[in-house]
Amino acid sequence: MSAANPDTHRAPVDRTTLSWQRTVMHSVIVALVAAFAAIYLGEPAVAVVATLFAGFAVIVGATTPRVKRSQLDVRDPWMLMLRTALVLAASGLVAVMLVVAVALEL
Amino acid sequence: MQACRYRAVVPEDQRRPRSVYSVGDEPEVQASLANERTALSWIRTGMTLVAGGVALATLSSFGEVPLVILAIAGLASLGGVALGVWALVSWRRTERALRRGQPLPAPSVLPWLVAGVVVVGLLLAGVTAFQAIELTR
Repeated sequence: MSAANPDTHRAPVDRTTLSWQRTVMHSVIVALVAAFAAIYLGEPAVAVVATLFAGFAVIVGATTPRVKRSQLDVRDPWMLMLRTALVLAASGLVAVMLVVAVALEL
Repeated sequence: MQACRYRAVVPEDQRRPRSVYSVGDEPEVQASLANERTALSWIRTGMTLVAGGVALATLSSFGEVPLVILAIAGLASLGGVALGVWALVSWRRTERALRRGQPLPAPSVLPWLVAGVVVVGLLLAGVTAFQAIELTR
């Protein structure tokens, strides 16, 4: 790694930005798939909850900053990670509700 | 790589959580960003588990699903949520260690994740083989 080229230091920042983009896209897709699965399986109660959570996931995904990772005072990922983990927890909750609803119909 | 540590922090450091940013010195930028990316990878792994749980639950639209499949789907979803929590805990522990210049904590959840994936894989393979044998009879 050459210290002479100032752009060299951009690489970890860009990798982190890409990692955030992947994670946010993942979270939105999983939340939407969980909502569609609930609708497709004909579980109305789960579908309503799943759709609300999917809406939350889309809002979180759309409002996650993409490039503000290079400056010290904005390198504060805690709240962003917390929000993303909440989306994950919501999707997991929908999946568990779906499994229980399907199991009760067996 | 020689760690470059900065004593001069932001004058009024408003970053949260305070339990992380109030200890030690500012670590090397690359190490801090790598810690962030690792936490994001854990979150994505959790999301993959949840997606697998949803996919297994969706199998019920094709007909009756063995209870063991639904149990695996439920456990995978709960495991995914647990990994999300682990990602936050692990990021916090590692960031504190980086700031204090201490050795990084071990990824203690990794052996459990690997064991879980292996067990679930074997179970699914067993159920699939059993059903295939039943079909051919």
